[in-house]
Amino acid sequence: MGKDLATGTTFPVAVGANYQTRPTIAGRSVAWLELSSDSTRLMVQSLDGGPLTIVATLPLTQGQSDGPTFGEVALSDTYIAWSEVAPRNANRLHPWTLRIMNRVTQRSNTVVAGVLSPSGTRPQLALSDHQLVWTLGGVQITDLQSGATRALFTDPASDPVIQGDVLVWISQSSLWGVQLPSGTARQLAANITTATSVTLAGGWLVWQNAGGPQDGRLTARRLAEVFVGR
Amino acid sequence: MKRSTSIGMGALALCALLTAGFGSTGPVAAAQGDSRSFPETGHTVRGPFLQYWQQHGGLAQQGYPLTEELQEVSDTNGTTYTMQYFERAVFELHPENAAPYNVQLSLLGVFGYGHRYGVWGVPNQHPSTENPRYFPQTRHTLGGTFRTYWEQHGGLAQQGYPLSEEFQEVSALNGQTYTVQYFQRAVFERHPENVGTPAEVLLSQLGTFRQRDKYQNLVIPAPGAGRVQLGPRGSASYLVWTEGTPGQVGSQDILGVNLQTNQPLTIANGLGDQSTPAIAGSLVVWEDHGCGRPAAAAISWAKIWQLERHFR
Repeated sequence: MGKDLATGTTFPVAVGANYQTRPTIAGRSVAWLELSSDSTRLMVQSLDGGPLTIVATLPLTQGQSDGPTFGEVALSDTYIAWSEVAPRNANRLHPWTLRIMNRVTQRSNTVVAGVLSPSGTRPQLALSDHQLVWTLGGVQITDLQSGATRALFTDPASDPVIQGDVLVWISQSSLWGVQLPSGTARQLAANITTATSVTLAGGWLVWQNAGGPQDGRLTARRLAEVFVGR
Repeated sequence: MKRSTSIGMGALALCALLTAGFGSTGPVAAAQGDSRSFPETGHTVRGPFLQYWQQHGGLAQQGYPLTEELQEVSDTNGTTYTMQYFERAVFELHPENAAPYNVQLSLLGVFGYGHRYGVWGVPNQHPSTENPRYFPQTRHTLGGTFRTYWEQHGGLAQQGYPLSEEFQEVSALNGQTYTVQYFQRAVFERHPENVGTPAEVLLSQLGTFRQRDKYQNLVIPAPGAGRVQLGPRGSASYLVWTEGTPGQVGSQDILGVNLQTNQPLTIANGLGDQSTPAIAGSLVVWEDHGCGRPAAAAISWAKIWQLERHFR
C-alpha cells in the first residue's frame, strides 16, 4: 500500500493473490519482491502507470527449503540494485551476487560476486542515482557509471543510508558517516552505542535504539552537529 | 532541504503582494530612525540590513524577519558573520566591504539544491528556449517568465546564477507539480493560476526552511505504553517508522512526523500489521498484512519463510 502524505491520499501499490514484500521507492517508482507458487520476482512499476517491469526471477523448487533467494533491494531513478543468494555449495557457503539494472536501457549486470557463511551477515544496499553503497564486512561504494569501487570503511558495518552527498551507517551499534565524495569516515557521536537502525530525514540523523535508557525509541540529532568539523 | 511550494506559501506571498504592493516595503512595520519593528513576527531590522531590505524589494522580495541579528558561522567559508534570517533570504553583514556590498545574501539556493538533489543534481532537465540567456559560469540557461523576473528583481546580486534548468518538481507539501528553477540564492516557482499577475513567479521560503533546519528542534512522539519504534525512514520533509508491541501480531502501525511542522502523523493503523515503510518525498509505501490480505491463502508460509529468511 502507499500514501501521499501531502494530500492524504492512500493508494494500492501491488495487489493480488501473490505475496508482496520489501517495498522500496525512488521518485514515483516502487520496487518490491513478489512470491508466487513457483517463483520469486523482483518488480518495478511507476505510480503514474505504465508497464510492470519484472527485473529478475528466481525459481522456487518444490520441497527445497534452501533455494535461491533475493537479498536486499535498492532503487534510484536510474538504477535498481539487488543481491541474489544461492543455495549452499559443497563447502557449506552461499554464493551470492550483487546485481544492477539500468532502468533506462534495461541492461543488467553483476557488480560483485562472492560467498557468504550460513551465519554471516547479508550485504545491505543504499543507492543514490548512480552511486551504489554496499556493506559486507566494511562499506564499499561503486560508481555504476564508471564501474569503479572503493572501500570507505573496513570494520563490520550495516544499515547504509545515502542522501545526497551524506552517507551514514552503523558499526558495532555506533553511528558512522562520511561526506562524499572525498570525506573520511568518522564516528558521528562517541556516546551513541545502542543504534540498531538509522536514517537521514531532512537535516536530521535519526536512529533506533536497542538497549540503554532510550531502548525501543527513536532519537534524532542535527546532521550539522554530528558532521561539525568535517 | 525544506522548501515551500505549498498553497500556504503561495497565499502568503500573494497576500504580501496585494497588501504591500510589488517591490515596495509596504506599511507593515513601525519605523523609528534606522530601525523598523515587525509586529507580524516580533522582530526588528536595523541599520545596513534595513537599508538593504528597503532597497531590494522589501516584503515581497525578502519577506518578514524571522530572527534578530545573530552571530553565525557561514557554511560557505567557515567565517563568523552577523546574520539575520528573513522568510526568503538570509542577510550577512560584511563590514570589510563598502556599501552596497556590505550586505550579502547567503547561498540558500546552493544549500537547498544540494540538500534535496545531492551532488549529481536533477536528471532530465531542459533549457528554456523562450528568449534564452545562457550563463557559461554555471552552464545553465534562463528564459521566459523566469528571465523576466530575474532581471526585474535584482538579477545576479539578489538571485545569483542559475544552478539548474527549469524542471518539474513535486511539492513535498501539497503534492502539486510546479515548474521550478534553482538559483544560488533563490528558487523560482511558476504558478499558472497567477498568469498575468505579479505573482506568476513566486519565491520559495528558503530562509524560513533554512532557519527551521538550523534552529527548530525535531519532536518525535514517544511510543505508546509497551510499544517500540522500529525502522525509521526519512525524506527531505518527513520521518516515518513502524511502531508496535513486541510479540503481538497485528499491533504494528506506520507513524511519522512532518519535519517542517513537527505535526505527528498516523499513516496506516488498520487491522493487522502495517510495517517496513519506505519513503521518497511525500510518498510512503509499506507492507500491509491486513486481515483481508489475499496472499496468505495462495502462498504457503514455508515459501514465505524461504523468501524472508535472508532479511532476518
